Amino acid sequence: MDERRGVVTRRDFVRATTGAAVGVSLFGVSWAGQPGRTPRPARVILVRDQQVLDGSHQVDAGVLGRMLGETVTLLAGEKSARDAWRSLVSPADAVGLVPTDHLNPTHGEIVAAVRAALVDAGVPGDRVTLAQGGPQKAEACTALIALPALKAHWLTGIGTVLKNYITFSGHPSRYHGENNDRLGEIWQLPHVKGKTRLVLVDALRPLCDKGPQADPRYMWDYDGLIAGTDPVAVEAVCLKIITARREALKGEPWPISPPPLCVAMADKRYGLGTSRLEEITIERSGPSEGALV
Amino acid sequence: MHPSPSAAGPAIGLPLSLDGWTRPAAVRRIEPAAMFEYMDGAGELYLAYRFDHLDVAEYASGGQGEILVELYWMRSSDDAYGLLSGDWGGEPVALKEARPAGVPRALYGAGLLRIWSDGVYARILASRESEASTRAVLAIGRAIVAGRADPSPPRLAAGLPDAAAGYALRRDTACFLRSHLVLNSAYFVSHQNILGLDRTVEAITARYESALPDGKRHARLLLVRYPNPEAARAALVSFREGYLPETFSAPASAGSAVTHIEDGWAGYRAAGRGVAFVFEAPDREAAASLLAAGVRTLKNAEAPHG
Repeated sequence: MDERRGVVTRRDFVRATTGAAVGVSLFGVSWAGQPGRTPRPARVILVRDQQVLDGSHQVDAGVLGRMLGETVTLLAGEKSARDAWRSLVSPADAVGLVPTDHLNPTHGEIVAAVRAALVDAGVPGDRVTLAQGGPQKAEACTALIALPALKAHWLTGIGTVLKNYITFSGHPSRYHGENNDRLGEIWQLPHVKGKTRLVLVDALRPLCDKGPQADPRYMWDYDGLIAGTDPVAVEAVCLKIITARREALKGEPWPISPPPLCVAMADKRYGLGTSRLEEITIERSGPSEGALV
Repeated sequence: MHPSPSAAGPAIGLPLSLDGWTRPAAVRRIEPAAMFEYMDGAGELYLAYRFDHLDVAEYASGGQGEILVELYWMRSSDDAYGLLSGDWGGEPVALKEARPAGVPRALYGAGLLRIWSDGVYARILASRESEASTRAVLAIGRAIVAGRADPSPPRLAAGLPDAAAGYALRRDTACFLRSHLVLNSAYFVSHQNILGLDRTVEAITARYESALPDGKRHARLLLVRYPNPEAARAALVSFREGYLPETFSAPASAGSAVTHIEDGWAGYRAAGRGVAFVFEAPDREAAASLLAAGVRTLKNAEAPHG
């Protein structure tokens, strides 16, 4: 990349891809290789249950509740979901839930289930709020739980984890198009940094092509929750799933375009987490068939 | 539904009810300034073409789900075609008895019908796909296209070479565009607008694949028609600076060059207000042949309409 001029071209990706370690990028391998970079091992939890959606894609709240409990229990290494939530937040926290409300919105059932679990873990109900919105929403919280839905995006390539906080910047349009590589910096803003206790991706019914409006041909029942505390690692796993689904649909390579530069740059430029799949341990529950990762 | 004052074509008479679905008598009009509010910030696609306004109608039913109808009134048929060309997937459907020749004008899949009808690009989406909703969606589609003209595709699209140097056009990859955002969605070149694309420009990009038994070799052709030769020259300089700076050291490369870069052979060839670009060609000959064929298309596009 010509950092001085700020011009990023296809050639930059090809150059950086050649000989790089396996990861995620335009061509399915990482271009964010940084010799000497300290490894950032990360864990990502993937829980799937094919009973969570019915034939009309409606959510079974009971199944979802069990999946959510299993997800946080695996992530936190605790014996119960209640203990797991207590390891993530405290009753004194002002907890902001940050779902996505457009393109492929987060299922309301997931937001409701997380809220109920937090209350069950001792967080007063009036201290759990919906925090999607402007910077003041994040400022008002001491803890954030990111609840994006898994989807591609026509301007940023992928529009799941990193993009979920775009409105916290106060200037969302500044992070589209050529500036999508800067999405990671939003997570480092003073009113956001360090507050995210959990990234929980709604992968019940993802969208693998980019919109700007959802096209049902590119949605499928994946029946999953994906979680972690490293937002870049979770995004990298999401990207792998979307990429695999696209190739399976077309029967040939179908790279996400524009390339999701934000993922590698969140690692390389902002040190927000790891985008390298080889540094990510995926712990799974549920069927491996169709997991795509 | 009211006629558009500026987009091509007559008024569209959407049925008030059909097979259990009904809609309010009034449709919702979305002007360009309100597109981001309507689409939660995702309106750039439509504004990247020459967009006039959007009409929205929502059909409700008793237990069969909803049907959303969006009519994007564009400034020209070419712009509506461009929106459809972003994705040629889905099942082609004939909405008129006399089906226009050439590329599909309506594509259906999983409850979504997309239509190019003169200056209108339409999306009709059933929230719940069923035999009944499919019938209703197609009936609405037929109402949309009834009595409307079926202009030819943009000349650049119609004139794309079918093949060059043993490389065959993949019609399902041909995307007509005016914006670098749309180009990057079809084929990533640069996050910056180094080709000087805007709504005064018309462009098409498509993939070409080898007809040889290995079937794995491919190249990408991009044809751009600028409003005038000066704009074309300025854009070409910008492209060379941003993408192929090595061409400045080569003699006689101001208007044409082919060079080997990281992912194959890339090049360009200017012709009046048009410029042909090629990317990822596996060899110099393929790149040169595709550029030559592209320039012929650009020149033909300048010829008076017969």
